[in-house]
Amino acid sequence: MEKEIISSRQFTIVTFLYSIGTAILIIPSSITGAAKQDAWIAASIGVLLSLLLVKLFLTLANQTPSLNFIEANEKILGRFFGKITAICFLIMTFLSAGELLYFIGIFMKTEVMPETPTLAFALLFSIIIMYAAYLGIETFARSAEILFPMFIFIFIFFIISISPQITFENIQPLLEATKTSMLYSITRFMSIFSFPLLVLLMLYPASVNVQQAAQKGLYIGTILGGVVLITLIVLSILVLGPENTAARTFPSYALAQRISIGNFLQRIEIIMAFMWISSIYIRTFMYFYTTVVGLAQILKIKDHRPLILPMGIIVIGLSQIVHPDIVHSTNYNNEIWPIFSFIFTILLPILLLIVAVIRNRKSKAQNNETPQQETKNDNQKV
Amino acid sequence: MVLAVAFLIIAIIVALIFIPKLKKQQDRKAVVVFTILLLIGTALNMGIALKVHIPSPLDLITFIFTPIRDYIVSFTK
Repeated sequence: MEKEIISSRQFTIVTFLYSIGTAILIIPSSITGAAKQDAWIAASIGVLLSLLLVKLFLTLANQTPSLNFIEANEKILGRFFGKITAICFLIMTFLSAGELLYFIGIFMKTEVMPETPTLAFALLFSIIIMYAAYLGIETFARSAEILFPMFIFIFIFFIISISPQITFENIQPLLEATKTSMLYSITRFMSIFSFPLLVLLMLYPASVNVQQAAQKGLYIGTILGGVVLITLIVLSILVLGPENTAARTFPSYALAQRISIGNFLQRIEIIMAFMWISSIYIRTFMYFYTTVVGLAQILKIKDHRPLILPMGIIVIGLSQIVHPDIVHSTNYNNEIWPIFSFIFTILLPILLLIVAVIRNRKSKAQNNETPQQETKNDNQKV
Repeated sequence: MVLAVAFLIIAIIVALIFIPKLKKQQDRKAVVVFTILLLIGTALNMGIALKVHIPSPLDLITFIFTPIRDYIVSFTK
């Protein structure tokens, strides 16, 4: 498999769009459900705490600068245990890829085209994902670069055109949420926004050209993505009101439906839907690509491309069975997903980091007598 | 019914195109993995097309993590 390299600027853009991902669609309703009008405070705290997580992920990535996350698992934990943890991680990304296809299908079905089966949307969307995975991350990063300015333009247009409808009474009274509901909202927000950032370690150390700049890029992308989400949550609360936001399945879409400038510029919500369709595309691609490449690496197959088509067919099927209905999906995302992802995206990296540090110390102590190149070669290769 | 047959035909076409290519590359492992994944995928999709009830894999995860969730929730009360 030839090595593919993306620039650190492309990596920043991918981080930005990736962290927005599905959160833009489902986060406002699930977090206003618990924290009511103080949801935006929970989101802000969540973004700040996410920076700590980014720090953790970067520290882990710098332990093995020439390997991606799956290879690092095997290198740090050894062949057997490394494979087990890597497979668990891949199950998580694979199920999430199916779930994201479900989201795009159910979104189009409930809001845009009610009589089309979700299978049709999943099929069309997965063809794009499979094609992108076939062409590789360089092409994918360039496509993200094209989507980025359009995303920003539409987002700014969105804010400007919805701002006349703001009623400030909706956000008062401030700081009424209890500690428990605040805690729940922060966990829910972070579980969708920043826990999955670990998946970006498939790109970061091994396939980025300037690693120092890419580290900064991961921080910047996360902060910008957080700002977009906080803005969207604040707008949903200010325009729709906390109860209305919590009751909707897709509050951002409902928000876009409210746009009306002089009773003339109306019903432009489908143009606004471009934002989440593009960000969900980035996220689904990352999950799918991680699964396919990771599977090829675990099974020691040289080229991952032959696996794309059968895996794509399974993902299409998976998207039809993951959630029988929207209640199931809301329950899963609010109650189970935070714990499930916490174990594989927080505890697993911490474990890897501890083991890596102990191993490095040991090998350094052994090589103190005869300073060999071996540890240097292992750990500081770029 | 039509959808299930369509999925089957697609799967057969995919297999006929890709398996000879992979065999040429002398990559036995890839052929085996490819075939297994394709079989799973086709079976899954035909099941969906024929409206067979397939339990969600997330139900298993929900089953595993519900005790942990209850434990954590009992802390916050």
